Amino acid sequence: MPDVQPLVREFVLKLKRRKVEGSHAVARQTAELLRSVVSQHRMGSTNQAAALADAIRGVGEQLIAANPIELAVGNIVRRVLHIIKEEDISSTAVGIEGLSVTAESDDEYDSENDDHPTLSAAVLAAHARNALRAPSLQTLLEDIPVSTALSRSASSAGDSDGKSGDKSSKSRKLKHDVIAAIGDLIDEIDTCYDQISEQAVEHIHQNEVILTLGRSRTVKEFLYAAKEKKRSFRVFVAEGAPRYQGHVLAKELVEKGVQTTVITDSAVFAMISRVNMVIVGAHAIMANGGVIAPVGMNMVALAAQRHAVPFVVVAGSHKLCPLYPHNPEVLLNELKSPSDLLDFGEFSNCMNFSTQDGTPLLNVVNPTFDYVPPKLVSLFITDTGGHSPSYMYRLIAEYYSADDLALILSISPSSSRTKAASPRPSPSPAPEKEEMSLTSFLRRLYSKNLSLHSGRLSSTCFLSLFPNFILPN
Amino acid sequence: MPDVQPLVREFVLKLKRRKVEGSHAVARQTAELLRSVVSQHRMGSTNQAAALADAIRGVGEQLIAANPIELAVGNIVRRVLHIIKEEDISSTAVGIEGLSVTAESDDEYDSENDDHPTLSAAVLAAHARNALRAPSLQTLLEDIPVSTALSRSASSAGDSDGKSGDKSSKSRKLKHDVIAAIGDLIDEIDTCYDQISEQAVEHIHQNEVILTLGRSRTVKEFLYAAKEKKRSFRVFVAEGAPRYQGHVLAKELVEKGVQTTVITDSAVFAMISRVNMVIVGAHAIMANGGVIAPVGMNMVALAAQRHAVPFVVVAGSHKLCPLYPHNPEVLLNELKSPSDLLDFGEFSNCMNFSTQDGTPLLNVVNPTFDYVPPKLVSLFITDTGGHSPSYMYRLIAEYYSADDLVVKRRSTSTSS
Repeated sequence: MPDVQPLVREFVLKLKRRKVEGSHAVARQTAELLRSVVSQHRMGSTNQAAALADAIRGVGEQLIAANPIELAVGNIVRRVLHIIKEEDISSTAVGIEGLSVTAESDDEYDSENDDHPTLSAAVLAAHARNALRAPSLQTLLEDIPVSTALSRSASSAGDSDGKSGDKSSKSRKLKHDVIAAIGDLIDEIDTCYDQISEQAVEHIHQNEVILTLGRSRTVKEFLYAAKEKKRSFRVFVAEGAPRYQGHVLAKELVEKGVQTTVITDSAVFAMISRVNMVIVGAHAIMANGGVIAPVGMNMVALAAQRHAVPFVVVAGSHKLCPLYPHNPEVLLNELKSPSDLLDFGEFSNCMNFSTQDGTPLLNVVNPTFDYVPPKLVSLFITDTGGHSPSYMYRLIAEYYSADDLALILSISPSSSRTKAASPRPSPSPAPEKEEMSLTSFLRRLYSKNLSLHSGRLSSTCFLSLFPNFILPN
Repeated sequence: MPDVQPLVREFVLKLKRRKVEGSHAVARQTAELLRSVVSQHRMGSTNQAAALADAIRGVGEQLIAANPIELAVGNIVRRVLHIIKEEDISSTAVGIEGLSVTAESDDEYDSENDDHPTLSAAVLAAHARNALRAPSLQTLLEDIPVSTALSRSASSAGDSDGKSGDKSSKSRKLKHDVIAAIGDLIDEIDTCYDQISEQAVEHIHQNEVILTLGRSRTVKEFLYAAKEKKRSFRVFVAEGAPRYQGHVLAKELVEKGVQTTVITDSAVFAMISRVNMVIVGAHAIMANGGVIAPVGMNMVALAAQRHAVPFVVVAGSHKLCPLYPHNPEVLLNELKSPSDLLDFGEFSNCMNFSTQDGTPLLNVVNPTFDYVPPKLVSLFITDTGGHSPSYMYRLIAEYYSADDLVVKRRSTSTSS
């Protein structure tokens, strides 16, 4: 793909140099870049979806490696991979539906279909959709009789389609569908502010006192919408050292006629007893419901918990990350230059490195982010509505597939599965077995994650599983 | 003391029948009764203070037994006993001071005083006062060299006074002092509302939202004072079932122009997030800082703790009880008639006692009081100022003596 490589390199450079500011811009540009990658990709004859996913994975790895802290990059890459999978399965289901319709009227296939029960098109399509959802008891029970038939139907459909020569149209259809879906994703990223702001009136009532820290564009739009609906409220804005973006937000709110008070970060605990609600933005929302937010947010969350003030986080769905945060204050954080805090000129003698062991006399720590544990968050407001922290894993299951969590692997899912087969004597996903015991259910359920485990052993430390996909024994 | 017995009997009867309402009225009438007892008491020749204290103890026993739940009775009895002790010691110290002054100028007593070091009048007086205070390192260190000298001086002073014939004037003086001190106590009880209300401006600021439950006269005066000082605040009054005294308080507050909202007791938790401060009255404050309050108060305290709202208790010092509450929900509580809650006519079939083991089908519990543990209370506002719950033991040590916790008449008046 020679046409798209310069674009990729340029974006990688921008990410490395932190030239792109904010997860919204990053997400949007990542999505547009991946759309270009898809459109430039030359579709092969077989396994088109897998090849396309591989290409996306290759580009995605580079992007994530350029800025591992900017989680929105990884989110969008995984969304696109999930989109590819979805479109592939739904087009296969459509093909099967077409096949079954013809099969009922065609005597040639009756002999083949005698071996397994006749499956209606609706059942097959439902099964295809279920394959993408998180495993639940319902989907597992539906799975038994259909899986064997489906795999055979899929292979037979593929063969028959190959024979009938609709392959090129089908491949063009897949690419087209994926590009359209990525376009929808870009629209979703763009309109997240509007969808979140629509919910403002439900949460902000009359004569409320709201506290926020720093400057989040989502919070700003949220408050604007409430103001336009003629809610009367006042806002305490904590400055958000060391960037003092709170000052900018205060100016913007005042222009809209909102009564605003700027306070220092240390004054938050003093004011919080008179605050009705804390509304803040986030940099990323992790799979356990924890929040990566600008530094100082954990203190606000603790103060709010102490005074039983609701702590509301507003964030677009592109910030929802399927990773579980292990040691996030270190691994998902970045230390910026101490010059924000101390002037080099004044303190140059303290930064003296000529001591015996070379350590400076004065250490200045300037972290970018803070981690807020899920128990301190009362509510997440996303473009899909308001959710509690314990619900975030459901949204993740809807937007992402479990296979895509470890993106460092540069091999296709099928080969990764064979690689994983060696350390564990697990049954292959080949559904030749007709009888399904409970343990084999569970093995099939968790076999999807074997590739993740082997990947985790070889990948960097901050990638991990869903909390609810923990391998047994 | 024939003159005072009818008064005592009448008061005991009123207490038994719960005819006296509220700790303020009870405390005042108890103090007045005890003042009459003191004034009618015939002072003996020796051990006057002990005899007087015994007489008070005798009457106090009867009063406490009449209504054990009304802790103000016991408080006032113990205060009077402490007053007697105080007055006795300070008059003895004055006597010693007088003795020492004369001793220095009189050669007869020099030989007696050679056995122990000469004590200045000031030291003796200070020691006498210290004997009444709670033991502290300072008083203990002062105590050692002085105590032996003091006891001898006291006995010698008593003998010499007895010899000199000032006895009757001294006894009259003790009685007079005690009656004056009890009069001060009655004034203190009467003026507690004013002294507490003076502190209102320190605690209620502008645009505050205050929550209270039921109707406490102390809280009412407190809020009146803040309103007169032109503070703007609004009040949520929880009704305080089953007596619904909150309705009365709401009317009174509205007459003064305070913006008031009446809520049910169950709505307290819903409203507490918008409340800045909870101010309530108490029935009694126990030695550990726990509060005996009208029923429903524990719930308000828990809600306030959950939302980090300060829980302030206002109470006069006559409500301060030196007892430690063991199992207060049962032992310091009273169950009132279920008719407050359920109409007998409607529910008479549920109250059917004709079941096999005689237990009724429906139990109705109507307690009078609630116990609020000290950890839920942020501040006590008494007539002496604002204190934390952990400070209450100091006030108790100031007002009461440790000997008087059990009010029981001792058989004969010899001190042991």
